[in-house]
Amino acid sequence: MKTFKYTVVILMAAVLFLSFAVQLPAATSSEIEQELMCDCGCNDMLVNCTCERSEQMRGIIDGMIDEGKSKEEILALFVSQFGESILSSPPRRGFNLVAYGAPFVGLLVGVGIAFVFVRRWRGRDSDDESGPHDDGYSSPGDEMDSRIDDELRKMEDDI
Amino acid sequence: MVSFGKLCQILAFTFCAGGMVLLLVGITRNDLRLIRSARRALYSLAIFSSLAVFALAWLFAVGNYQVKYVAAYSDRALPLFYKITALWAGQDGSLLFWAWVLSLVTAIVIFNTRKELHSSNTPYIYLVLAGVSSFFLFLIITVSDPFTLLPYAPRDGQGLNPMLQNPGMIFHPPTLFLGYIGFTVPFAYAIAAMVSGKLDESWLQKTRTWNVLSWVLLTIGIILGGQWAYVELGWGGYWAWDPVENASFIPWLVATAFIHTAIIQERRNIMKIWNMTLIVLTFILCIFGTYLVRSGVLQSVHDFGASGLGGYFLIFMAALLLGSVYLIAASYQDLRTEHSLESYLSRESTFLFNNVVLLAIAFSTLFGTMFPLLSEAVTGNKITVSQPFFNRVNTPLFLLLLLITGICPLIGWRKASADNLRKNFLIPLLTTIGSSAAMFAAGIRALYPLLAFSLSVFVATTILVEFWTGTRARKILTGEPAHIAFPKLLWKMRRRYGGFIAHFGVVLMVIGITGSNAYKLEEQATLFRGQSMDIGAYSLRYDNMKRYKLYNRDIYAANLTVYKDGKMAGTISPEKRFYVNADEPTTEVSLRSTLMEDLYVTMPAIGKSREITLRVAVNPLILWVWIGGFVMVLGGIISIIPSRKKVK
Repeated sequence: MKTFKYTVVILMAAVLFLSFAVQLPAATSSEIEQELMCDCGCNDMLVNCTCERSEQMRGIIDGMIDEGKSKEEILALFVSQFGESILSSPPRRGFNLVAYGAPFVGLLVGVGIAFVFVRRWRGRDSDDESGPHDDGYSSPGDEMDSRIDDELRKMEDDI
Repeated sequence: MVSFGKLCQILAFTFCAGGMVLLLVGITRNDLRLIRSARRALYSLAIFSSLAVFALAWLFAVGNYQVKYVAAYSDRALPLFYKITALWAGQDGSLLFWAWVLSLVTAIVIFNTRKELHSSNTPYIYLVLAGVSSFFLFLIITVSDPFTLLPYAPRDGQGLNPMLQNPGMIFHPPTLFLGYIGFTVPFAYAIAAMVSGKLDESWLQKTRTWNVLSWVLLTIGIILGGQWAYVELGWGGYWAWDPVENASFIPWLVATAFIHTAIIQERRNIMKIWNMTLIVLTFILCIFGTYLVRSGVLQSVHDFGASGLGGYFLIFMAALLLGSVYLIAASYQDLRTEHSLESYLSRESTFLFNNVVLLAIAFSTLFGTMFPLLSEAVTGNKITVSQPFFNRVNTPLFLLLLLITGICPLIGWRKASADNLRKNFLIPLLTTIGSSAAMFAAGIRALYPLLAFSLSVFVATTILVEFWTGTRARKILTGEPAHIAFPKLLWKMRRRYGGFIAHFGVVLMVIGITGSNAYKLEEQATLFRGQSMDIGAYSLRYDNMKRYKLYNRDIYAANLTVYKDGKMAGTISPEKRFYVNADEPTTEVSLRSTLMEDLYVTMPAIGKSREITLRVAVNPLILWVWIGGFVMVLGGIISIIPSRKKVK
């Protein structure tokens, strides 16, 4: 049972870690457009905007790519001209790190609180955890069938 | 008709306020006659707010442009259907619409509780509903009156924003509003339960249909909004994490968490405080969504601009929050859980962890939405928090949620044994590992898509195993053949299997979202007649341009022949539309939709020599987003179909 618990926890942690650790591949024109907002006042990302101003901005980006400028250089030029609000997401430094970290801190705190609750609720009933519980939800025979039968009966009572 | 509308609004407010006074006095004196009179007053509220809505719809229909609101959102050329639906296109009308629907919901609750007048919490339920109604009616008659007249009568109105002249936009706002408004009922029951001290699970049982129905309507509203964005805005996507989109998504997440843990309270009588907190949060977040659209505090493609209503909403939300926190604190001893949980490995605890992840996504979305304000206040720097941020932060959380969605049904109630777990997990795990290997071999190597597809297979398998084992159990119990046992199982246990169907809808949506985001192709090109462009397996040839008039617009439609793998696959016709009274032309998307992919074509520009600029995208699997949404809604509806009472 313990092994299973650890497997589930490791599986969940792996999903979270691997998916957060994934990095975007090298930049293209469209990727730079995703990093910028259109400055026409539409509040759309450049890649999504279809206004005339967005076409001008795309032209500027294509020009800079042709000049051999890197993604970082192009973004820095836009920031120097329009300020950081031209970026579609805050750069990962300084106070902005709070935005990136808070959701995961929130998740950890939530999981911690949930564990405390479950532990407290468990504390009210000091059953042994090592074997199947004889509450009519599991039986020594075909456990799957028993579970379904019980649930079927219970749910039919519910509705 | 203007005076009639104004009078109806004032009478609706008067009856609402009068009803509240009667309720308060009736509760204090324990006088049932006064409560009955309050019920009649609230029925009158529904009648007069309906008449006010009728009056405004009439003014739109006849084109009375001296009414400021009518002039701002319609014109002579607008088709009648859009004229009527323009009623909720702006702030004043949408507030009237809100007050009207809430008055009808109040009337339905009053009718449904006609035999429960003696119950101590019934008057409080009416009081909360009337209190919320009075807030919206107060706004309408004081600061946001849709019947306000201009000092002159213009010959024509300014017209409806062309973007809003789309069938999706007719239904998207009202379904969202209906979802928001629906949550007023469980909120009212929860508050009434705390005030009256009747804190058993009866309030949950009585509001279950309202909870799920409101969730279904909110889901429909959000999906229709995405569908509208996809076909109307022309950028090829359906969800941009815009502040106002987020404002509807946050209460949806909290409501989803609530619907799950409400099941736990009904079955095990635990998590009472948690559920009270969740329903209060859901309702306040619904009001917060309305506030965000109307306050002008955040920049959004949706908002109504700074309207002066922000302060009123803030005061209202603060009152709701403080009142609710006080009541939960005061009821803490009575809400404490008496029952216990036997194991960390039980369905109850997985529901709790699913709640934690749902709330973490809600928190990250709310935090990200409000972060520009926080950043400006702390650092003085203006920043933007848009799509890439939310994708980066929320995607891992969504994947974790998907994993828990798969694990949850495999774990029994109360306590799962090791043997039970091994048996339940075996088939889904083997299927997932096998299909992941196959996908990897087939070239799906990027981590996000591989994880998302693999977890989708895992969840889908757990659901299919549930259906299969349920059908088999019924076959054994009743002796029915499988083709009879399966639909009967679905119908007889629709609450349970409706939930599984909704989960299956989520899986289909995940497949669609992953495919359309990870494997999207985009190209832009300028073509003269006879020229072609290629994208993926497609080739598009520009044949000719057609110009015609329809209703209130001039339309330029480019005809393109589509070839797929060298074979002709049909035609496609993106448009450029010039609406009467619109400053700029709009683009109209042309789609070729299949289960595998959408060919998505817009025409941002037409040159002087009739050359056209095309933006073309191939969006894989996107149809599954809409199919998944439909299945999710279907599951929700199935789960609340009422059963006939057993006659013994």
